[in-house]
Amino acid sequence: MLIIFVRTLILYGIVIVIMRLMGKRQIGQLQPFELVVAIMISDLAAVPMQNTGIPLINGIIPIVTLLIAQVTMSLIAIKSTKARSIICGSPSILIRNGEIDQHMLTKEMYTINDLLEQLRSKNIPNIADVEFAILETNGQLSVIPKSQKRPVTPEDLSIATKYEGIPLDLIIDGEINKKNLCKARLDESWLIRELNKLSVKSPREVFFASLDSSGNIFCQRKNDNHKEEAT
Amino acid sequence: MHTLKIAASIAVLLVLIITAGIYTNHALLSSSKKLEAHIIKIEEASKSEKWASAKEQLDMANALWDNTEGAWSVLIDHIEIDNIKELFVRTEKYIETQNQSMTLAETAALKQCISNIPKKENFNIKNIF
Repeated sequence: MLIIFVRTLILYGIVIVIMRLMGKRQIGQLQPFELVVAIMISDLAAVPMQNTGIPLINGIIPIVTLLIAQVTMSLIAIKSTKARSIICGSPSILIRNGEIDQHMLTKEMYTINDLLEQLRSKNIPNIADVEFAILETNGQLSVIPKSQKRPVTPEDLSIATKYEGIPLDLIIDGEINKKNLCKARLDESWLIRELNKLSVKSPREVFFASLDSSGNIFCQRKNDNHKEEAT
Repeated sequence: MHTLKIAASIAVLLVLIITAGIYTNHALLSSSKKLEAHIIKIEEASKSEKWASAKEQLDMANALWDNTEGAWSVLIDHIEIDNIKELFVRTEKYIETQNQSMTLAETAALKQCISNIPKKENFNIKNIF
């Protein structure tokens, strides 16, 4: 029993490392060849986990081999657009200039019901509101609504807006993120002063605190649903 | 530059795997030949009914097997290891009881088992398919 336990942990660690080495896209939206690799890795890891008669190396070598093959394919796809179109395929336009491309729907084996379902999931219940619908190589449908049907932007109303950057995490689970404090050109004494204004005595009491590009602090204490915001 | 580093790392990994593969095949062949040499001597001693000599050769083969078993366990299915161990135990008993026909049968099976291991791990079309 302990043997299986240890083998599982070893293979689990190796699979985590391999999946990280394959890159962030592996964890997010998958291309077809990436999906194949992910499925194969999980099967290859599962067999020696359960069967102690199989040497661990018989699971590790195939997984490493898949890493080599996967990274090589990815490098080839990066360097060559022709290879990329062969390996990943090309996006297909299902709705072009407001008109459904029936030939492309048939070619992609995508029914009109699938199309309507995807549009509804993108909050577009009316197909007449769509200018372009593109089926991406990872199977996701990208939708460009007609200009009159898209959400209004401040630019449409000639409204000037301030710059909005990424909020910086300052405290996570009581730990101060010094790197982000440095990025914001602030220091710990400033942070403590700001927390004191919110009746928080110490960063250790804080579950999460962030600073947005307007200088507003969001702070939530641990084991407490009391949320503070300060400007 | 980054892609070059990745390509170089992949190339190094590939070379390591190929080198390790060639080395393990060579190591398996070498250790199986040594074991087979002892088993042949056991066979010859059994045929001439020199049971003390057969026992001595078996003890040497067992000692060599004890050293080899650890490395082989990492590379081949454990069921093969168990089979070989079983054959060693049976051979030992047949030598103790001075049963010539059974000793020869078991040593033949042991030789076959051991010689099969490097053949199964050999890089050839038959093993790939």
